[in-house]
Amino acid sequence: MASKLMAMGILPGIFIEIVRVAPFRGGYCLKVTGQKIALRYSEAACILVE
Amino acid sequence: MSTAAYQVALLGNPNSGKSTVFNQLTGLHQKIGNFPGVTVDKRLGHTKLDNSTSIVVIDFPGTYSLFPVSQDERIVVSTFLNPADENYPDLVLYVADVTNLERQLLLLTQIRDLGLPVILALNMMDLADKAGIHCDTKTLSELLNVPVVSISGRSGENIPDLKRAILTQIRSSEKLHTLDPFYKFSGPEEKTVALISENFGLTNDYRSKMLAHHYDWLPFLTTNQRVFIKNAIEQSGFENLKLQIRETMQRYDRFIPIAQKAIKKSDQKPVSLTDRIDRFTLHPILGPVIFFLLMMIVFQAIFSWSSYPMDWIEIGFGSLSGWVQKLLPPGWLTDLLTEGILSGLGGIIVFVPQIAILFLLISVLEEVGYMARAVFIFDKLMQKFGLNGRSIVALISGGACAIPAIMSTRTISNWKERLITILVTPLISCSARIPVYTVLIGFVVPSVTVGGLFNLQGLAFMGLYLLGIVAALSAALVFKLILKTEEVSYLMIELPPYRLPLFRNIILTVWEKVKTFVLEAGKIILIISIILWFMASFGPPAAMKQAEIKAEETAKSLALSKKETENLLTANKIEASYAGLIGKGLEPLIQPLGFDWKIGIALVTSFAAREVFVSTMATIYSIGSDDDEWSVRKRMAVEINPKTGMLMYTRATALSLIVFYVFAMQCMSTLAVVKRETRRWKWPIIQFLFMSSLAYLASFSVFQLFS
Repeated sequence: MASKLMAMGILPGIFIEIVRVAPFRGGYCLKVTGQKIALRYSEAACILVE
Repeated sequence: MSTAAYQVALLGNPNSGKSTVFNQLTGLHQKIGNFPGVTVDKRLGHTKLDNSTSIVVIDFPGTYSLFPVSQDERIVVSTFLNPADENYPDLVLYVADVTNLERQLLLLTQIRDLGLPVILALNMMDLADKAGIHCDTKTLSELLNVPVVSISGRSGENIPDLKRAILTQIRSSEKLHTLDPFYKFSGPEEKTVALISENFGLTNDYRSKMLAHHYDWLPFLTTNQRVFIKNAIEQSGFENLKLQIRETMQRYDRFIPIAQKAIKKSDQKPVSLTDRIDRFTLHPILGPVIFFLLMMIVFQAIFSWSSYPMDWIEIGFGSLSGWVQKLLPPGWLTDLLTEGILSGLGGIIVFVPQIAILFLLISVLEEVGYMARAVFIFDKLMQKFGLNGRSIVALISGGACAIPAIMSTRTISNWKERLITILVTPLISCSARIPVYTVLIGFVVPSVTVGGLFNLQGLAFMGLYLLGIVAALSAALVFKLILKTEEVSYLMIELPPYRLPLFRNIILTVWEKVKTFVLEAGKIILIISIILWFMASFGPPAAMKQAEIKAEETAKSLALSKKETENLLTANKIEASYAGLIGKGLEPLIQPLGFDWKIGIALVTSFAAREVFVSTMATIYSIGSDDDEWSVRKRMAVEINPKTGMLMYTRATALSLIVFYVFAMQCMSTLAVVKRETRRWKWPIIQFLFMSSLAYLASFSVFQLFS
């Protein structure tokens, strides 16, 4: 999971913005370096936010 | 010709515009195949570089890195690690979206470290210009040590430059594996790699490292090789996951400065149009509403727009076979041509409008970038049923026709989710069930208005559709528990910026889908329809002869007109035919459902397509082939059951028959498409069995309950 997140550009120390929460509480839409990425809650749980 | 064609692999991240570049390079010279052992599509095309040189371009699935998580991505890894693979490229054409270059360099540097010659095609330069992004290709090329060409797949700009760069690469004998690798190994990696490289005789150390990461699933390794790698890893303390992260981090640390040096972005950052649109399309309430509105349009389009061309096709084939019948002398050969082959061909072509319209609209939504949003919105809901966000498109289009719906599941990358979608989609009531429902509902439900607004028959119709939806979702739940897969289910999807659709890409998609259906599923449909024709027109010779004599005698004694005699003759003949025999053979089996052998025959023949039920019933009741739904219904209403002396079509029988058609897999074309999409007979057979058993059980309960 971690390596997939990293391959998609979610790197340690990077700035992440939560743009939206999906209907039916389905997941997050994140913005990372100008790109929008959709993640499930379980996938987003792997990200440690400071 | 002894030299193998020069193979160029097209590789890149999802949404890099790879397919657009592929279409630019190859145009209509494309073929669809699949990668060995899996159901991942392989698009392959030819392109001419100059008068004497032609190359093969293979489009690989969009991939983020050589650490794969899906079946699609595994294909890339297993091909690029195995020089003996038939798809192993001579050159990699790496397509990257220049407006978002950083992240996409990860896979590029990995490929480069594998020692494969690479050309970097910086795509979307037209969009980059608009966004104020400037890329210094010369610097980039020097720092990465690969040739760089900036192109636009959308407008075709600089594609000739790209071809020239490929040509130069082909002619140069310089191999890249002398290059300094991007990634520097740690101690345990060095030890492992040394062991593997020596044992396998590999000159490229990064390939050895990749073998160490993926040895447990790579299909081309022998058991001995696997054991060797496992031991090497354990000896050297090679920690798979930790080293994946180490490698990724180190690569990012090295190429981010390179990208920053080569790319100049202007500072202004307006709120993009994409963000503004997403405020609506991803809205918790508006989002699903917009989705359902769009799907209504899609549904309406397949359902009603396609009815015109479908009518033309039916009329066209009808008059063609009438013309052939007049032209050729009567006999079984003419019958084979008209009733077997021509009606089979008509039965294939008639689906083309629906397929074309569905894929036209779906690929517009896909090209625009909307599909990724739909997947995001419905992921959670569909996940509960073991399905994927994309499954909802298939389920909804299944309401018009299961065939294009099943073909649209291609984009679901998780195999289990895709398979479940394919298996349950035919349970959604399609348009071919409508004639059957119409005839039968008339029996059971009076046409009265309830609540001053709704017609009771209309409500019954809706009930049948709901029944299909509930059945599809419940079946999905069951399959979710039964089917096992080691593949992990992911959402993790990029939501690309909205873009205007490219007409060229859309037309190519539609063309490809129609072609695949006609050529691949069409073969199976044609064969089955010839078999069905044979069974309905031939029987044991003695019995057939007797049926003829009996019909003539009856006609004489009742002084029937010529037309009535003909109808009686066909009715008696179908009774004596093999289909009739099967129908009679089925009788003991279907009696508990309230069906007689006549319905049995119709069940057999309507395997060709559900709507054939009506015309077969018309033939059996010797009404003639005008298959008017009303006359069939009238005739059925007076049918007497010889055993009880009561009316044959009681409420219980009719209800049971309706329910049977809601659930039963009475469509050979769907089965043919399922075979084509899953590449095996196993799944259509399982699908046929589970749907038939479901239909049987449901009909049985309904009949027993109401009789």
